[in-house]
Amino acid sequence: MIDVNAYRDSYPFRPGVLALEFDLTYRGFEGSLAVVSLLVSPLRAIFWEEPQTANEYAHADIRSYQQKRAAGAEIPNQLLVAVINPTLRNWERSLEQSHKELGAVAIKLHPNYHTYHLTDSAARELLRACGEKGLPVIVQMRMQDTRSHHPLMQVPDVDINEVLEAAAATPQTTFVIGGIKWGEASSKANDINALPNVWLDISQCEVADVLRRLIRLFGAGKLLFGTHAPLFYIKSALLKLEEARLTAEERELITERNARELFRL
Amino acid sequence: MTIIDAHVHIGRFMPPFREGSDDFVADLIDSARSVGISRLVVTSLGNRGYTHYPTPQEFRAANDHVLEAMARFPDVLIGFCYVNPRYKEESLGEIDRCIVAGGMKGIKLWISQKASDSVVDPILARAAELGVPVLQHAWYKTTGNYPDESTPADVAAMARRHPTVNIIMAHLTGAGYRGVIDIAPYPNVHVDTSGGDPESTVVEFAVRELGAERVVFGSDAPGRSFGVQLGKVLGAGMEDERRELILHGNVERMLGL
Repeated sequence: MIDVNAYRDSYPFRPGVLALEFDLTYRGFEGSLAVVSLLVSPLRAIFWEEPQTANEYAHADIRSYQQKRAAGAEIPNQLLVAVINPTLRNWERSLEQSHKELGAVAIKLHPNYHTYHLTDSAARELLRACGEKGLPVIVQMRMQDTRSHHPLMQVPDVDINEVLEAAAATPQTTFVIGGIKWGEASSKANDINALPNVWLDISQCEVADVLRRLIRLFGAGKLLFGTHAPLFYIKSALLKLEEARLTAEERELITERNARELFRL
Repeated sequence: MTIIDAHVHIGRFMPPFREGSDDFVADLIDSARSVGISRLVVTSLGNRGYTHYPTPQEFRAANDHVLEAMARFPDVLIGFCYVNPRYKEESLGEIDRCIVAGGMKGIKLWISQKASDSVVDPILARAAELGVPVLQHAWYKTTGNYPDESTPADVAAMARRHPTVNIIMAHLTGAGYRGVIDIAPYPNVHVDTSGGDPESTVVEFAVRELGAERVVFGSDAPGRSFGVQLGKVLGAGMEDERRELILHGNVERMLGL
């Protein structure tokens, strides 16, 4: 099982998210934690002016975590997703370092928190560069329901049209739309299906029987299991799978095979 | 283990969503069962969409749909009666029709008036006489509530005036930590876990501040997923005895099941 949308660090607007309960929850579901991989990005990178330092810290944390794993600890495998801010003049160096030195398996973008548009020239350059390096890009649509934002820090969601436009303009780059909502996915299904370089993380998609509906719209080959943990209860993402009564093949595609191929794991 | 979902919507306008189905209510029940939920407390907020200020004709028609669904699935569905307190006599009459005669088990108030407004008092007084709970919507929205949408502070004001009525304040995640703190002094107010994203730690916070006896599982399906919303309770850290209260014990006690 591969969770393509999880986080490290604390989140400034909610308590207790440091208490990762990955271990207990996944053990109950999968039987062995050794089969679980988490693609984690640093939450601090959203809020720090310079996210590369947060990527470096996350890399160091993950390395010590992996050492414990190598020593026999039954814990999930963690893989770094580096956050890049293309409005900083050093983004190319950060991208290169994340790719070559930090071992990032993907890049995550937060255009709304870092206040740029995917249509901006620097963002386009970054998207092209990721495509050339074979690094998938996760565009995170939102971190939290806008209705519950801090009143002095209300951050609008990323515009789905902007993401699809960028994906169409950079077809060699692999896009994962992180935290897409059901309304966005269902209303843009034709556009999304027309883009072979776009996949959907299901962590924030919700309506009754949402995963079955997503499969009907997109097929299991375009969907990726994600939890938005530790901000969301992992159990919620796991029960989303149960609610869909997946076939063995659908389950394998959504929870593992698509991610393994996309992120070259 | 029995799991009762205390906050579910049905409506004639809602389309079937299972492949090949022509029956929305059956789809909903099947979806709930896929994650182990066996009984649903249902309301209808309108036949053609959710109606903010329903006329008597509109809330009667909505409740007709619930009564029909209850008759079709008597072992699964528990109806709550939707009224608009701005129509006092018609609402009281509808409560008698749906609860006394029709077998519904509670009253649903949405956003036609704030819970703090005295216009709700006759409805709460009738709830006290009948010994039925009132499910009251509430939310704290940074982006702004609807004009007559209650906040948890409004629910607290309602509870203060009607201490003998069991009030279920809807939407724990929407009410948030501030909302839990607002209602904590009023032991007749419970909170349901329905709606909003499955943000971690908020269920544990509610249990810590209110006690598990005042927390009730709800989903807000079909706008939300049964599995995702149930995951809030099954994923929260607590003892099994407390979880059982939230998943069925508290609702059974309030509804006399």
